[in-house]
Amino acid sequence: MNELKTLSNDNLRVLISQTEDTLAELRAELDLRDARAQERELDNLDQHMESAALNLKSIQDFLHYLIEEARSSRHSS
Amino acid sequence: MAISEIQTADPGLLQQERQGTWQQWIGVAVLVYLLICAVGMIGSGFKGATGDHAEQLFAFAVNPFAGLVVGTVATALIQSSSTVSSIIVGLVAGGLPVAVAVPMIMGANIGTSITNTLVSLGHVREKKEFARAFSAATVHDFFNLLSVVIFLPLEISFGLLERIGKLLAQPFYGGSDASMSSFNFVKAATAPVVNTAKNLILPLGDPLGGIVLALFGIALIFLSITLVGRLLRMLMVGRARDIMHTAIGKGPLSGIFSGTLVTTLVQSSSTTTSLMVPLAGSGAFSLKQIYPFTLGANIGTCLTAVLAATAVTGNAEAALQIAFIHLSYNVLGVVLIYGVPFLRNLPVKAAEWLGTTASENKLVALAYILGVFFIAPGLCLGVSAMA
Repeated sequence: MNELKTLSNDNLRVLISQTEDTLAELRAELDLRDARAQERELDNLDQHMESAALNLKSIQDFLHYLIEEARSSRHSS
Repeated sequence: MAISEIQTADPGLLQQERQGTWQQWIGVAVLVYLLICAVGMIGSGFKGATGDHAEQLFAFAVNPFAGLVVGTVATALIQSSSTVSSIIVGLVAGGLPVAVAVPMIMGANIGTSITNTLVSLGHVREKKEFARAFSAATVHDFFNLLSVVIFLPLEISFGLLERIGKLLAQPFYGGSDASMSSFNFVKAATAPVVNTAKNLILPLGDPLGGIVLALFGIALIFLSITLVGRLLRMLMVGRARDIMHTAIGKGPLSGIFSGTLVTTLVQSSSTTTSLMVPLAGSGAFSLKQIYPFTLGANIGTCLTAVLAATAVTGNAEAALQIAFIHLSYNVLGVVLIYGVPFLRNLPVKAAEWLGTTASENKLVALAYILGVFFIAPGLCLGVSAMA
């Protein structure tokens, strides 16, 4: 970054402008990827609709998990 | 034959599968019809069972906190705010005072948010995923709790929602030529079924006939809402996907509108809010992005009770008033809480904190569910009963 001191003001302005353009491109690419990921998730909405229906199995699994976790922490202590 | 060939063999069949068969749509229409009839039966049954003493029967719920708890616990146990709000509409038509019913309606909003919280427990094995899913579920809880904190004191002090509901219901029963009392097609269409049930059950005598009719109506509501929910989930998944695809990246208002629309189509706020849990859990949608959809779900769920209120006999104006109170409570909640930046961020911050904490210690999630939906309401009910 020491060489910055040797750059003229005009060169600095050009560099800032280029950096801003790159930043905008990077942000746009990131937004595009996020939007694509969301589109992909929504394409699986049928599956999500099924998993959105409450079933007792998820509660059972959760309780099993709590018991497993309690046992493993007891063993480790 | 390869699977891809089978899938492309008959696009007409695929299109039919996607849009549902006409039998399924007739099923939806019949179930909605039965739902409206059932609310009418509850009203008539409740009136028959209590005579003019409905107020005395619900004396324990005159304390607004007790009413709130009744609405919360009943909805948490039944897992459907549409069912509970439709039952409340029926009870109001049968003589339950509107003032007693308002906190119950608020409680129904809190109780319904348990469903997506329970759904989020399915993500427990992946820590980060669970944190996101639990936050996505509990943002709805915190919004509904905040809404009660703001509107219950206003209701107790000024009867704000009662006044708004009355104002909205009056034009329909104002005695003008165009009012619903002069030509009500829904009531006329449901009268044959409701009257047949009344003629069959009410001769059992007072109060037994009224109790049996009201219980039959409650069972019918539960059955029709459960079945119509299942059918609509199948029929509307494609439409819901299209709506949500359209809403992506279009800002919060579009999210609220889409949440309202999807909930109206599937007739269940729990379905919409539970649908947000895996979308947020996967990390594709942030908490702030799914938040408006869940708010829209609160508004979309009110349609069932408004529809049901059009067909009741007895105190029909009060029934429509309580249905409009439910609608205006949810609309005002969204406008006020989402409209004020400070209030808007409170449910998000609280849900983010709880999600992170619960992912570190899963017992927190269990304690939260038991505490908010059962223990705290139980304590409130106990304290108000003693007072």
